[in-house]
Amino acid sequence: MRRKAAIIFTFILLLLFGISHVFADTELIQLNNPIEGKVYSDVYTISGKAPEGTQIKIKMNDELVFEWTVGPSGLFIKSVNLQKGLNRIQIIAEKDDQKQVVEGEVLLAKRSWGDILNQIFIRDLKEIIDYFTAK
Amino acid sequence: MTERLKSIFLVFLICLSLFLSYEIWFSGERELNLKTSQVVNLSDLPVKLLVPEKVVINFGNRSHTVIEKDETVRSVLYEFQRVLNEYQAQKLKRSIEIADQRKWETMDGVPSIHLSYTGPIDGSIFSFVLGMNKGIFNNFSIKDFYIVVGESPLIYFRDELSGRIYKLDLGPIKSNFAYLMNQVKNQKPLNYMTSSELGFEDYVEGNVLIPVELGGFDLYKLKEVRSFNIGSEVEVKNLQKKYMREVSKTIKEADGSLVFTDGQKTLKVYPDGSLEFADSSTVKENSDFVSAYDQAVKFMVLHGDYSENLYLMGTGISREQDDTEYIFYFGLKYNHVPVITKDGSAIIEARVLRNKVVYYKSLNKRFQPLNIFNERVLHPISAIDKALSLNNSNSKEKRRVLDIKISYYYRASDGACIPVWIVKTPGNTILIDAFKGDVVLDGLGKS
Repeated sequence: MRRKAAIIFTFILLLLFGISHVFADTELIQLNNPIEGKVYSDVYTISGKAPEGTQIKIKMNDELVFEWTVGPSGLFIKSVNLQKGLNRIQIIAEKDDQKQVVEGEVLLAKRSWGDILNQIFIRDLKEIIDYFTAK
Repeated sequence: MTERLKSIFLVFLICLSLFLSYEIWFSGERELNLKTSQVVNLSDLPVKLLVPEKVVINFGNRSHTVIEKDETVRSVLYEFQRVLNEYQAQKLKRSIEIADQRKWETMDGVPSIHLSYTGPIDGSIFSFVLGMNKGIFNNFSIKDFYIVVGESPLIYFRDELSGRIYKLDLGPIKSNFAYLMNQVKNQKPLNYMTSSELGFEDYVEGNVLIPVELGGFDLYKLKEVRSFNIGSEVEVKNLQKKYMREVSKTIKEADGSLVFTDGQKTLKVYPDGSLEFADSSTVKENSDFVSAYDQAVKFMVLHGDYSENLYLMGTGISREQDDTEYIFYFGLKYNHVPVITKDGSAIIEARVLRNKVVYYKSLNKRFQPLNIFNERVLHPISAIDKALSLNNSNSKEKRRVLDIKISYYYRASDGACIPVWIVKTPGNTILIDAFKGDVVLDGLGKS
């Protein structure tokens, strides 16, 4: 029983080490926000950090829209114009022999009456609460 | 009877003509007609000069913009003045109260307008200029105002003397701030985000605004109207006459500067045309910040130094025994982009003691905006990268960016005004050419 547990434990350890090793190799960029979700504004901003010298390419719906070499600050930003509907965004980061690809989909939606009413209601409610809590 | 009516009518017409002639010649707005054929309306100047260095519109939802058009900035300022006057006219009005510091930190995230001045300005000047006859901003020193747009507008400001945040609820006033914000939004302005919204707060101070796309900057090509020639007797004489009628002594200094004095007033003209003036004559008049401001502005206008692009950068105070000296710093900007000099000092500095300008320093330059640059502006992250590449330190704290903004840099050597990104790091300020990406100056304000 103990032997079985030790084998399973060792296996899990190896697996964890393997997984973290794979991530450590490929994790070049750190995005501020994951590329996903529903938005209402046609301008979408991608920002993040990467080691100096990393080559970054951003593709939107398979079209290259941005190329950047990360400088000493380690920072990058790009605003992309979304098209109505689903937009596929791909970020390719390369440095020496390391490569990382981050993909995601962002839906540019039209604001529905439900969304608008919901927002107004929530905002007004928040204002009322703020008003009374401030007194 | 008809004859009598005619006579009465004739007398009426004569009286009317006399009244109208009087109105034309002696009433109306006070105007000063300067030698430079520039007509300046003195009553408008206090508001015109009190334009913030930067007006930021926070739309909410991590969307911000910096207003670049002077007309829009003025519209915001006039609306601010109007709502404050309406507030003042209310019978039951709320008074200023202390607000939570945390609330101040969240202001960029709610629909609001941020009026940001270069340096702290004495509150009495805001009270005076904005028409608050009760002087509600007196006793404060203010650099930033936030106008929170909603059913009843709220004003937040920080007192730079105590560091406290204050709130003024204007009550049920209809304001046009939301309309102005919408107008700006419809013009598809340049989109900015704060460093913390971009996830850069470990590297760039959290509230620093960074433009996320480029192409919206309207940067002029600025040209010095006419450079001053210290070798020209006529030019020197004309300048000297503006400051003193008679000269008892003239000194030429080793660097080529000329010093004129009449015993009490001294004028020093530098080879590049910049000048310093001091007046040691004594008067016994009392003054306060408002009257001193009025004197400083009048002095600037009378000596032909006023231009539409000047703005009040900040105020200061210097106390010696029973006397108080009021200091005013004025800057220059074009299309809302400020002009800075190598030492980072103000374009004009005026010191008022006992209601008289006792010291005055001016760059004495006029620039003419030519066409707008069509070249692509350097990405702000590239400017940050360039600035950090000069810094050899590996310390994360030393490599932190405290601020980044666009300005014109006046280069005295060739009289050019270059658009630059100013990148401020702990202990250093670096100027990067906003088009070419070259380092223009490493160490602003350092000799």
